[in-house]
Amino acid sequence: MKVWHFSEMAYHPAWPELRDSYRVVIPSRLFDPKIGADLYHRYLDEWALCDELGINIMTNEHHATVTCADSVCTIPMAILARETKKVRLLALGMPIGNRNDPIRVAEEYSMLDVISRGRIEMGFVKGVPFEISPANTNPADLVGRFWEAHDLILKAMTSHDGPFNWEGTHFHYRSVNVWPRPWQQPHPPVWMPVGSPGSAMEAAERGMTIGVLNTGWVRTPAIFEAYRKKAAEVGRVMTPQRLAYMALIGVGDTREEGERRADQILDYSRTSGIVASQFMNPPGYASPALSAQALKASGRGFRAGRIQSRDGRAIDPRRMTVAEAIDAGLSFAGTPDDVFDQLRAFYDHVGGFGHLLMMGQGGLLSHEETVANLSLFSEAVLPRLEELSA
Amino acid sequence: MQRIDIGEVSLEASIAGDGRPLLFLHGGDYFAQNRAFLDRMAQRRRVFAPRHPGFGGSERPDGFRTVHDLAYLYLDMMERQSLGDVVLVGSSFGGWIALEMCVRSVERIGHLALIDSLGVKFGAREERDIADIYALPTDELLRRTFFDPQRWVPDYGQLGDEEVTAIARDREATALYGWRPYMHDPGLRQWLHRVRVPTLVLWGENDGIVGPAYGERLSRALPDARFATIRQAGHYPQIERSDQVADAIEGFARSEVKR
Repeated sequence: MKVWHFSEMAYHPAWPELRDSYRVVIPSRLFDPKIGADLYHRYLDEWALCDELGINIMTNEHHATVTCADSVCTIPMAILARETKKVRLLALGMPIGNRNDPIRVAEEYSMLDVISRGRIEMGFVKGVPFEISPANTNPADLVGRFWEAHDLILKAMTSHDGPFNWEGTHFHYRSVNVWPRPWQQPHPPVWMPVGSPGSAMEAAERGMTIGVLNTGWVRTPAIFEAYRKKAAEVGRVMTPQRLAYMALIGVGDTREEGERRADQILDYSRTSGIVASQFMNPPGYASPALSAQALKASGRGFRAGRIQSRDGRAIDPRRMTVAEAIDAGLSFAGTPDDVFDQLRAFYDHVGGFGHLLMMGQGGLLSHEETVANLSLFSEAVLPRLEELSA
Repeated sequence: MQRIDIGEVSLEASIAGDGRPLLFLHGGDYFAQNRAFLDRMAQRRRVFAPRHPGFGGSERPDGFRTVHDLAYLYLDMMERQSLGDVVLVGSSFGGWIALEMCVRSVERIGHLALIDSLGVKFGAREERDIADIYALPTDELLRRTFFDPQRWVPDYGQLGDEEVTAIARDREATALYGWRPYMHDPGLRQWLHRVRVPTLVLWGENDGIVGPAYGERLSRALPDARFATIRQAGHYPQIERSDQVADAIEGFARSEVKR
């Protein structure tokens, strides 16, 4: 199993000043560039350390928010493409339905792939609903735009005989000719985060690797199963490497230490959903049936109730405890043995997966604590992962 | 539910009354709340009130992506139904469609009534003519939309699934057509001189989505328009003051003659 360290590069110093929304409308005067620079450098140092620890690197991006100061996922990738030598670099990822220029995305990924000598993995994301406002993209045709951008980017990265024409519904280019071409042939592996069996099937049809986030003990099995079934149906070779699961991981010399680290990382889950409600369900982002349910439950927003305990109770992410997160399958925490045992139970429960997306830093977890967390994981958990098999 | 078929496009519609035809083009939301206004107009007119493609129970053909498509569709509809001397009434988003129709052809249109219409950009690039309904907190949005929101905003929890799903489709389609550029067509203003038809521009005095000043400006930009406000009404005066708006439109359609 491959392990990937993920951090949102949170700008947590502004958290105490915010109440109803941590996103979209918050003024950037709350960002102190001097503090921000220190934070960027320490997060990059933690990723760079991963090269020695045998842990791969995952970035992402969000916009106009304090929960994730990584607003351009390919910028840390570009720095790390040179600072690291061994591990792979995944962006999960690029919101291609919200970026207006897919060719620029193809250029960024291709250039990164060449500089890193073939260590890039390309994530394409539809993006959470509150990304619509910062991008001012039309939520009602996001899905169509996403797939057209996906098709165009892959064609642009795999065409090497000079310009081709693209006059689609959403994008128009008369001379698509991306330089450089990528190192990996025909193109770097493609990932997509999914949250439902339906989108898992869309990914399976195309052989994409799926990253599953926050779906936990209750919702993950059906998503993985839908992927496996669809892959078999369309005759694609199924390997565990097509499936990835994200968990918040706190490991310590004692159970108390591991859980304390997880508790700080969990501030990611506690804050990332704090969004003014008008940005939670832009029209057309979800299906009319889902939007109708949200309208009927006005005020709750359609993402409410996503996190469930093992026995099906709804958990409020803003107040989730470590024990609840472990029960829900969102977190593995404690001693190395605890973490391995929890991971193995989850792995067996969902039928196995090939990538563990480890949120090894989140919220207020300090640099020293993050280094200790990642180092102990590398030393005492990572070597045991080959014991897992579905 | 009645339907109007326009070529391949089938729309949910209500059709009622007798007399000179009136085509009502609804706004982005609160479709059902237009009932009282339509009933009153139908006492004197043959009223056609289609639900736009992509809204409610009306399908949207794949190629329909802009308000221009809606304008051509309704021009087509008047032609296919052999309607003439039509009183064209557009509310909010429907006013935008009506303007797009009129700059193309007023051949079958006798009178135009615009009620708190959208569609035209007057201000500078950093001025917002039309409030961003997608970014306002719900309470403020409702206060800006209605003079008396308590009375007109439905309790969605009490409505059936089918009705609420239709409303979700209304909102989705409004976004599809109007998200960017936001609720206007940058090219429309330069063609407003082609709206060569007697026009009544009606505005809710308390409209907080697009204020009366915008209505006055729109009225001045049209070749043959007069402007009037409706007291104690927000963005949808035909909902909040249905009789008053219906009577104002009827009086206007009777008194002024197309030159």
